[in-house]
Amino acid sequence: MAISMSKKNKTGNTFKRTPVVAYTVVSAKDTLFPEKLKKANEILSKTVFLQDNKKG
Amino acid sequence: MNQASYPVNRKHAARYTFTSEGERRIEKVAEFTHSTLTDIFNLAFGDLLPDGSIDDTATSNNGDIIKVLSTVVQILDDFTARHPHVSIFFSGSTAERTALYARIIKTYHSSFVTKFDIKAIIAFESGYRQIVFDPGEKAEYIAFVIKRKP
Repeated sequence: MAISMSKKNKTGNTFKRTPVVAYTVVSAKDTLFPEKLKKANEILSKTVFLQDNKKG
Repeated sequence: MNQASYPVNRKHAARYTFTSEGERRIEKVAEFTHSTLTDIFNLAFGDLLPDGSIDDTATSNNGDIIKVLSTVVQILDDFTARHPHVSIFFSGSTAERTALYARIIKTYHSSFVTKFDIKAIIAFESGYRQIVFDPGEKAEYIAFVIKRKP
């Protein structure tokens, strides 16, 4: 969710800052299940998806 | 799946824990991790051992498998409610466990489909293909992919 904020800089000009909230996920290097993730990625990489679920 | 479930702690955005209280107390952890495909997360869960490591192949035989799986469904419901645009991939650590998941999905299919779009992955030629999960069909499933309905 982005939140817009206005802020004045040193010269008195206002500008908009839109900080982006990080989408917090477990990255591959932090996972407690590296082997399961590896297996999942192997399957997904070889899967022909239905048209409405095409990803990649 | 309106079965009893365990209370869940959400450790952070993508990691949940709960305690299985059958014959023994066993800490369980469920985690959603980004796969290499856009907007598809892998769901994995297993036993959190005292030394902090994970055992995702254990057959705990704690006498509460339905309650444990019901809890995982609650976790799935919570995560997909927070991230409705993602798909969740999951499979068993063994073929037998994947078959158990298929039986659970079949049993509670009419309830699940009110909220989730359920697809499955089967072996096809030298790889795999995705199909719509049909509770009336018998198939050897490799994995499942579910997504919350809008």
